[in-house]
Amino acid sequence: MNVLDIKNLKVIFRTEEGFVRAVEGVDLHIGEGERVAIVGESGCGKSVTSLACMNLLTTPPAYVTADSFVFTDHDGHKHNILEKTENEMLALRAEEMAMIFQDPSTFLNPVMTIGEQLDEVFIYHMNMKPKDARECSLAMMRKVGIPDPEMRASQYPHELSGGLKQRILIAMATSLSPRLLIADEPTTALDVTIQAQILRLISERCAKEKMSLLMITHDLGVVREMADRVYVMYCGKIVEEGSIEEILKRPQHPYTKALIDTVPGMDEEVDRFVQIPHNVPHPMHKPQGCYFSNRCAYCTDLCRTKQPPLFDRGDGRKIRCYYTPEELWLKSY
Amino acid sequence: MTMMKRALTLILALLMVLPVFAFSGCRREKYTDSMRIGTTALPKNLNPYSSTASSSTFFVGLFYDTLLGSDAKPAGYVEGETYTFPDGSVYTPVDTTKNPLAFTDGLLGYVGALPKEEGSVYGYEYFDPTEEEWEAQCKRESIVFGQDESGMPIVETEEEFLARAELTVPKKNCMRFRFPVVAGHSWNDGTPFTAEDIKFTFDYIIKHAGALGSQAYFLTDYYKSEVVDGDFVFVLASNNYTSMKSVCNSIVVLPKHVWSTVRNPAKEKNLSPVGTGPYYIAAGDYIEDSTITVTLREDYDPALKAKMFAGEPIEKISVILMSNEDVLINAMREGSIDLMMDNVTSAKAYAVSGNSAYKDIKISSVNNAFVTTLLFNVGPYGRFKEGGFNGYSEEIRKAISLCINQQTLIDDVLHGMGVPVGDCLVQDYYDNAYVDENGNYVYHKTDVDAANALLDTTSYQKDAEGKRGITLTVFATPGNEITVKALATQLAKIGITIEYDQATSTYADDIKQSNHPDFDMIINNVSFTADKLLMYSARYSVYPGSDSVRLFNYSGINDPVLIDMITKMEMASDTEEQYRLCREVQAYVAGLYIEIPLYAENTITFYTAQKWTGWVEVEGSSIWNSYSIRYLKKAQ
Amino acid sequence: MKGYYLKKVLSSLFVLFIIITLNFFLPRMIFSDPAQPYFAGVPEDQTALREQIREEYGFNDPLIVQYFDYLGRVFTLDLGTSHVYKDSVWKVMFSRIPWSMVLTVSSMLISITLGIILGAIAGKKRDHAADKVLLGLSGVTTAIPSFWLALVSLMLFAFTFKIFPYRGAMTAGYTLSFNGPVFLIVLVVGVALTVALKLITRKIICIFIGSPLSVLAALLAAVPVGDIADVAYHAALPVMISVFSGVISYGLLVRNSMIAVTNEDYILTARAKGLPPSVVLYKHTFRNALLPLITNVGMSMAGLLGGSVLMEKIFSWPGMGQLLLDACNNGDYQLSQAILLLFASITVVCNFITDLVYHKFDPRVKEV
Repeated sequence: MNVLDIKNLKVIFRTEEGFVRAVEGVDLHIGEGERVAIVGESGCGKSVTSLACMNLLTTPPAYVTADSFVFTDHDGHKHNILEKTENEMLALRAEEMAMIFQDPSTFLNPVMTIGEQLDEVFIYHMNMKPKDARECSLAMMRKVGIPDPEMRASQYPHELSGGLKQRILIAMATSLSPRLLIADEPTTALDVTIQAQILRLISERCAKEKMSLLMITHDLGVVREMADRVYVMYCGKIVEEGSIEEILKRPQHPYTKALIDTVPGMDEEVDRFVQIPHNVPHPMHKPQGCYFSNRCAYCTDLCRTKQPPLFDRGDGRKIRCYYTPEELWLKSY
Repeated sequence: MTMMKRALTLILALLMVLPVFAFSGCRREKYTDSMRIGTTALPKNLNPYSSTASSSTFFVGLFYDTLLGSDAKPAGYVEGETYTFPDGSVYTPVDTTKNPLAFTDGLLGYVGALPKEEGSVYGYEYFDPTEEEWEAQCKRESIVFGQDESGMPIVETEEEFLARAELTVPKKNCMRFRFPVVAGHSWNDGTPFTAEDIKFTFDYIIKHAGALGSQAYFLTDYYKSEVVDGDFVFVLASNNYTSMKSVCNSIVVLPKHVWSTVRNPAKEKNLSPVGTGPYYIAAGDYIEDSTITVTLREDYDPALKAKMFAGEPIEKISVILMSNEDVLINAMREGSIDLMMDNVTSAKAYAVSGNSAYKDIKISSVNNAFVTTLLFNVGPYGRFKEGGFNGYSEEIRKAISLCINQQTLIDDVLHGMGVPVGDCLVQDYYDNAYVDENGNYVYHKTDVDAANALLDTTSYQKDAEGKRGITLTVFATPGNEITVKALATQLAKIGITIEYDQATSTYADDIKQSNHPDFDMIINNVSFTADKLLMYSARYSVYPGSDSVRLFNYSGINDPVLIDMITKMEMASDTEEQYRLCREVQAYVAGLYIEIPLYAENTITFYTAQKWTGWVEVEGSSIWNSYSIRYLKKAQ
Repeated sequence: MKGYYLKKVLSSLFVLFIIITLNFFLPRMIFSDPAQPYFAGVPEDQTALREQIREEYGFNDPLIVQYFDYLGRVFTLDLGTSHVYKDSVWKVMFSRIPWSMVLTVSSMLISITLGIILGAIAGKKRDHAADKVLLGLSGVTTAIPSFWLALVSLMLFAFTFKIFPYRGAMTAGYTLSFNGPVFLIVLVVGVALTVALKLITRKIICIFIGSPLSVLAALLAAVPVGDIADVAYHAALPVMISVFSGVISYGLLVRNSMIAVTNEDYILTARAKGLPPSVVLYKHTFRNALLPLITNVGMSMAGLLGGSVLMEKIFSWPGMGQLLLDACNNGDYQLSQAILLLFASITVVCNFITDLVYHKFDPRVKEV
């Protein structure tokens, strides 16, 4: 049974220049205890997708539609997220789905102590008294490995290091053992040395609390560690979907291929960084055909004029490309 | 839900606004029947001797009496003739030949009586002073005049002192005045009034000369005072009684029992003044920065009251502070006040006079002692000094004087609310103004052709554009900018260019003192009224025996002939002779063209006759004067 | 922490010292003769008398002696005597300060409260009428100077429609009767109750609500209702005009900072936590949005005693602004100098307090 089942998700932003189609018909499903990652360059709509999952996008300027958007909670009730009002969402957030954000220094309220911010979750969801809430907070802080939690609880965010702050955010998100944890680039703003710790902490927490994980990242290295299944997103569309081994070993979409090529291998000698030619198209001026057509090495006239659908290639693999890997291989010669 | 919210908001808004409407008119103003006067500046204290606010003189006249009345005359009064007042009563002039200090007794109150007839024991007599009296007088004079150029007291040996005193202080013909005290006066706290109080006042001023400088100044010729058989006597150690005229009509008499405990008059607030005047301040009627209300005394002597007021006197007078002139005018239009205490400018009067919305507001515009002049800098730093302008300084000054047309200035600048002034800067209604051999007052003459002819004799010839290459800057306050512009138009006719330069200070002497000893010209206000002041002003123009510019020497002129004339005038033994010489000094100073008269702006006051009628205009004063107080009565 | 306070206190004292020094030297730079204001009423050629005065006030001493003399007098709080009011400068000022505060405190309280409400609504819902009103009127208030508004409303509401009085703080001829002992007793009791309540409940909000309530109760007990009504009626027009511009400026400030804070990342966190919208609004958005207001209010706190010179002049209000204006016009030098010194000191003290309060509300300042 899937925790989250989204069909044909569309998010449009109304800006002063016009409408921006940030997400264009994304199908997404996350199974129970499954770890799913959405990979893509910045601006591809992966963060917007994650916010849409939490129903955190405000209308206006964002307009969210989907054919179906079903979340199944602990008790097996199905919720249509899009039909929920803000007040109805309150019970789902933190209790059923929670989110970890990318920059811990801006995502914590600077004028409240760490303790106060952690307490709130217990106070407003469990109707606890402040004193009991603080006990729970301290316990949570211990769980995420924060030394001397009593002292830290009385401190303000600016007094903590980035890694500690991210741990606080993780504690905050996982304190009520939600069914789905969304991690939006949780390591981007951190030092490389701390990244691994944080990732380990997230996967530990997920395993322990049996949470499903939706990982949003642009880092394929992270995906390798953290995900069972991967969605590759480009310009608001899913371009490839598949299990982590399949995708990393046998990428089928030219974009996925290019993306994997950009990651320098540990064991090989690198004389120059590989990069995908040209830039991501402007969200208001996407190419007429395949969105990757202007950057694709195998592009044909068909690609330029007609958008490819998402072809199901079996084994749970879906690719948004007219050509099979073999055809592409032939084309490269 | 939203309906509820809206209703709640509406109720809240109403609750907030309602009290204000409920309060409006919850309180009726006090004293609506009293005379109500609006002002923009209430006095901060009621100390009669050291208040800087001009409005305090208004109150001083109501609370206190002077030794004698003033010589203010109703507008339109002709010297030596009778005058009929609004109530039909007839004024007969007092014979001044019997007593030089006899006035028309115009001011509200006075406590010393006039001599009834010649040869009575009351009045004055001449006597030769004793050595002691003479030396005392010399010492007093040395306090005031024994200074060097920088203002430091001159240290003299005994001989030097006596030698200088011999020259300046007369040794005979000193004067003694004797005043019987007017019966019926009492202090408003119930204490009887005696001549001792007058003596106390004189002694007090002399004792506190430091704090009461301006008052003490008038007592330079005064020697001592005494009480003889209940009469007040003062002794002058000279025969120059002219300054005593000011003393008798301006220095108010203080109660000995109150002021003898006042150590420092400069620090006395005097908020509930004890005086002999007909009005007093009842408890709680002095409200700082809001209103001051005076009430007619119930214990005031009926005989005096009958003499002072022509009919039923005004019971209460309320003076109310308001923010500015426009608020005052609007308050008067809607009937909240009957009089504006502050004088207004001719421009404002012109605007109000032509507006039907203000038809109830009456404008009083009377002659004034203040003369607006154009002053040249003939001092050592000025361009108009002796020999300035290639030696043509005097010709240029004279030409400018001839070119100025006072009537045009009055029409253009003052909208006609002013009068032309004679060259001698003394208004024709003053007794001692300069007159020609036919006895006519000499007005300033305008002759542009003569001015041009005069300038043609100099090295400053007109060029093709009609200019002579003389550019002069006039320092003036912004209020006088329009006058400078009008002057520029007139002087363009003789090829002189005038430029306006804004003065930072209101006072002409400040300008000169502080930053601009090299100014060309300034617009200056002068007031030459009493005879003593006339001589004082002559002193202002020259200072004997000094080459430096003294701070108070307006124009810094140093003319030997003038010095001679002034010394002669001051040394003259006979007062009549002094007057005659003084007029000669006036004429001579006018001939030097150091200060040219422009006009005398009228004193303009706004009042209404809706609630109170019987207003009388007085030369040189506002509509609120002793005659108005005497004749005002409630409108029917 | 202690070091921070000490540093603030020391720097404030230093600024005060500079102000006092400036206050001493300014007249000596402005006037060619610093003794000039003391010569009021003494004719120019009375040089001997003027010399006497000069000696009396110590203008003949060397400058450095005069300076230390002045410092000594300021530190012993001896600001001299006004030669116009013939009273101690302190006494004159203290009789005016309450009147100024009636205008400024009430208009500031009303405009801050209304400004916060309006700004919060406008900042929360950009399409709300409050937002349109704020933005629309902000142009009006910046284009129209408040003194012009005051003059026009004086003309309209006082003279044409006769709704409001046109002068003064009370009806002509009335004074405020103020029962000092009663005021003190009620105030002390009120404050004591407040402190007791705070100690019992341990909630700081008790102080914020209790102390103004005690002042209000003390005022109601010490001043007759009729007098309060009269003053309120006279204060209505000037207060409304100050409120008009105050509400708009405070409202705009709150609105803009509300919008800025709403877009902050931590608000997203708060929402993701599933906090009710009201908690997100008050606890997270609002508290951060009010930070710029603290500085702004702190700045205008200094004007509380000073009052608004223009408003007081236009409505003949017997407050400090009017006093300063009169002192300047009358050449009351001691008084104007003392007022300027008082204003400057209050500004310094208010800045200090603002720093402390800001520090309390925004922990990040500690580091700086």
